[in-house]
Amino acid sequence: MEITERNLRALVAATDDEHRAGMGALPQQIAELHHGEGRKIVGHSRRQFMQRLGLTGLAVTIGSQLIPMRSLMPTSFAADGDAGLAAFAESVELAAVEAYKAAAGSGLVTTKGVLDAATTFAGHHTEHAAAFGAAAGSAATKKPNPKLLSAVAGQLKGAKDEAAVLKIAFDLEGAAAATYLFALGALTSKGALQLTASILPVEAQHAVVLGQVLGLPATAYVPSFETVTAAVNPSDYPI
Amino acid sequence: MNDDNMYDEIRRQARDTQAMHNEAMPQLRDAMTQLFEQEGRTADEKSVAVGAMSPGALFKVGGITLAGAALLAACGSDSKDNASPSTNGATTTTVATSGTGGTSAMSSDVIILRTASSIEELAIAAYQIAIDSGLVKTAAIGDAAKLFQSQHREHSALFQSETKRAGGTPFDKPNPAVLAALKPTIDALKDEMGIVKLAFDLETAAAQTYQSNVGVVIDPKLNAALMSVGGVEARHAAILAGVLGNAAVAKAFQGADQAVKAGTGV
Repeated sequence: MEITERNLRALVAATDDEHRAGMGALPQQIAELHHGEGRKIVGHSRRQFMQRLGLTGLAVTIGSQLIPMRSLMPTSFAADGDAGLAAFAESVELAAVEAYKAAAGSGLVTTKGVLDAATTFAGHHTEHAAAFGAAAGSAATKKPNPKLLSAVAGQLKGAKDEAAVLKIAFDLEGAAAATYLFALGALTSKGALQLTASILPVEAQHAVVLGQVLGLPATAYVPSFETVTAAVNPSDYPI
Repeated sequence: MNDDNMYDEIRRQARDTQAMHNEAMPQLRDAMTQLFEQEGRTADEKSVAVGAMSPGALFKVGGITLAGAALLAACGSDSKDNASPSTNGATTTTVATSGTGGTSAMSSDVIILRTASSIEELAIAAYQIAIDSGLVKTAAIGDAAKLFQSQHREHSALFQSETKRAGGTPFDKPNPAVLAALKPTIDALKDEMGIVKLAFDLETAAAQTYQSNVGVVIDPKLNAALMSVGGVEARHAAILAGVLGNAAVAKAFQGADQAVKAGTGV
């Protein structure tokens, strides 16, 4: 199934309207994270964390990069528990925001519908970053993940056309969704879990739109299950 | 970027299907009859399927607000809501239930998982209705229906497996309460776009249902399991939304207002 430029523009416009409408609930969600269940963020040991993840020997990819997952989390992340993970997620979201800005400014994206989509999706990522930042509390850095941003910037530098830029965005969205699935195996507070579960599907839907625009086969953007295969490893991408 | 305007084609073909409506509807009704009169369906299930409605037990699928007295018994909502599920495995919760399990008490995780598999089975059945109806004329939509249906089979298998692992009896039939509530909508289906809308509503409800149970399940491993499926349902919904001409990504955060409450119909 494919999507036309005109349809994409319509979808993006409608998305933006709904997106703005949805903003009303955000302060309440953030407040809940600060003062409700999300406040009850507790640390846990690295060992417990690794047991929860249950991930060893996996490899992840962002675009063409293959990232080994030999080690999972730096001790600092484990010590911070949910707050550390939320701070990491914030950094991933902010890197995505910067990536979309760089993509839009690359001069390679000339289709208006695609530019509109990039703007809309960047707006979503900005909101996600704010929510994760609120969940992270004092652990939040309010900065894009430096290594992830550098990796994506390098890929964008090598992109030759609009499709190549879209493919990078597609991979980044898939990586974000995988990262949050990964996080769901480690987070402990109800607030942080529910926040992450509310964001994962949105990243997956971004990937669907981009996959359709790219004309990829449906199975490329509609897998049978979400997996952690493409997750961004906090150990390799420290904040 | 493909310049073909798929949606104009979809709508043109949808208009063509109007003329075939009268011919196709009997097939649809037959399929519905099969669903409702499956052999082996218990008295409780039949009761749920045709149960009287109560304003005290509301849930929604898409724009349809549903209610059912049977849901009160099936949900055991009070006891569940009053429990304090935690993700550290310290709390166990039991809920009074009715349905194929035939048990009076099950863990809340089992109920969540049985509800999940019942929704997956409902989606499988709904896509089969779509495939068999003769109303789907666009090849791409037919292909998507088959792909999505096959993925729902995998999802149901996962949830049934997890139900067993949690010590429960898997629920392997379409959710009777939701199916009963959707029957008027299904009976009124006239064209391809109506089917797409129904599928969109079901996918959205499924995605939101699994999300709503994250952080609620007692076994923390289930959080990732639920969203490994929930993310895919959201992808299905995005594609179907696009076919309907709606926003593929409706909001920055997925809501839970269309979620089916755990225990409904199971």
